[in-house]
Amino acid sequence: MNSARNFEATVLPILDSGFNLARWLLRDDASAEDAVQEAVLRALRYFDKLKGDDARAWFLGIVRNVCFTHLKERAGWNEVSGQDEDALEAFQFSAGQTHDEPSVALQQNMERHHINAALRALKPALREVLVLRELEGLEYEQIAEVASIPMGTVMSRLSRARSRMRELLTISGVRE
Amino acid sequence: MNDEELSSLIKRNAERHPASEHLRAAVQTQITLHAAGQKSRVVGRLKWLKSIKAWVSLREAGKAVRTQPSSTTQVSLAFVGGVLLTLALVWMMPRMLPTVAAPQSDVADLLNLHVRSMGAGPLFQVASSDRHIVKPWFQGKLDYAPEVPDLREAGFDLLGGRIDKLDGHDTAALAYQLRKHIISAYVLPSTTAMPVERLQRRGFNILHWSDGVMQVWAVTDANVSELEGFGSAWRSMFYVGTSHEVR
Repeated sequence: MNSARNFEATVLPILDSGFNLARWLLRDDASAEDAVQEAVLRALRYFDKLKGDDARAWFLGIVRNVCFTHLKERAGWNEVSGQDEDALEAFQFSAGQTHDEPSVALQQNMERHHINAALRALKPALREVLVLRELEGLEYEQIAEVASIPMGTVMSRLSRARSRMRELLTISGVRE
Repeated sequence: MNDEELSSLIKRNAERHPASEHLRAAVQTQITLHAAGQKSRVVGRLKWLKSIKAWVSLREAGKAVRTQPSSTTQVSLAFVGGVLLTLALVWMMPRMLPTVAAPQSDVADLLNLHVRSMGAGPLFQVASSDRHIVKPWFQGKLDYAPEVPDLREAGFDLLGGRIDKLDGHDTAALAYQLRKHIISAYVLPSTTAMPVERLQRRGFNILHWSDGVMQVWAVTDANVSELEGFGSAWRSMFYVGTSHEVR
């Protein structure tokens, strides 16, 4: 029971982070909730192996693994390694929508919309590092632990993710 | 646009998705059940009183999410008291009453049975997606013939069936699957028609109905609308076009 309390105290505060990551990777609420619940089951089983390590990175790592397994099941390896065709198509459609003299509020709205669409259109491996870095504020070491990749790979993925974002945002006219 | 500009643009605009209350409750349930499961493995099979205790501690362990409007402590205390009283009565007068709709106390049992079937097992004693295999399997094992509908078209795959002791009686339990969620359906005789009743306990959703001949208790961690879909798919197999139709 004690370890259950510990587990609750460890995992509940980082549940939002876990769900946010799952939601960005899987892109719908129901799948993301399933993934987080599955991650909690796995985390419960291996909780005694976590000793003084970074609990957040540990839990996010489990969530992330469940999500990638799910992505592979869902659409074959293509969705994970290749381009995300659906989101890219949605992105291109939304990028084509322009307004002649948009108000400031509308412009900000559009900007928000384009940035979310661009992030969604990144392939999962790139989306993952960007979400962990920019939304969850993780350090490079922590990202390396979550994704089980070397630091060098974290850097190169982040850099690829950023240049892809720039490309997409240029297409949608957010920045020249 | 340099890295810093891009970074602040993303931080400012990208959506943050917080965990829903439903997810939070479901996770707390998972944790409590995990702890209870480990305990029960040591102690052995849960008996009547133990299952009540486990259930009461489940309720105390966190805020219970209930669909009914009233959920004050008094009500839940009265409820627990009612459960104990009902159980005492059931204990003292075994099998003197005809099988009617299961009392509230069975909800605790249902949850325990459902959870145990997924953890310690067995999830099913006869494994088949074919109702023509599952239904006859119950022959000679039960003193009634349970309904075993094929709900595949509605998205619920039959996994198999098992017999659980519910309220001291051997009861047919069917396992269906929707995506990654398991739905346990307990099918037992009934003498009174009852409208659909919806309950929520610690993240689990429970649905009960009776057409006056058979009653069904469905338990799952899938969401309410999915369980409702299960209930109406089930009832449409049996009650459409008859005067029995349950609301």
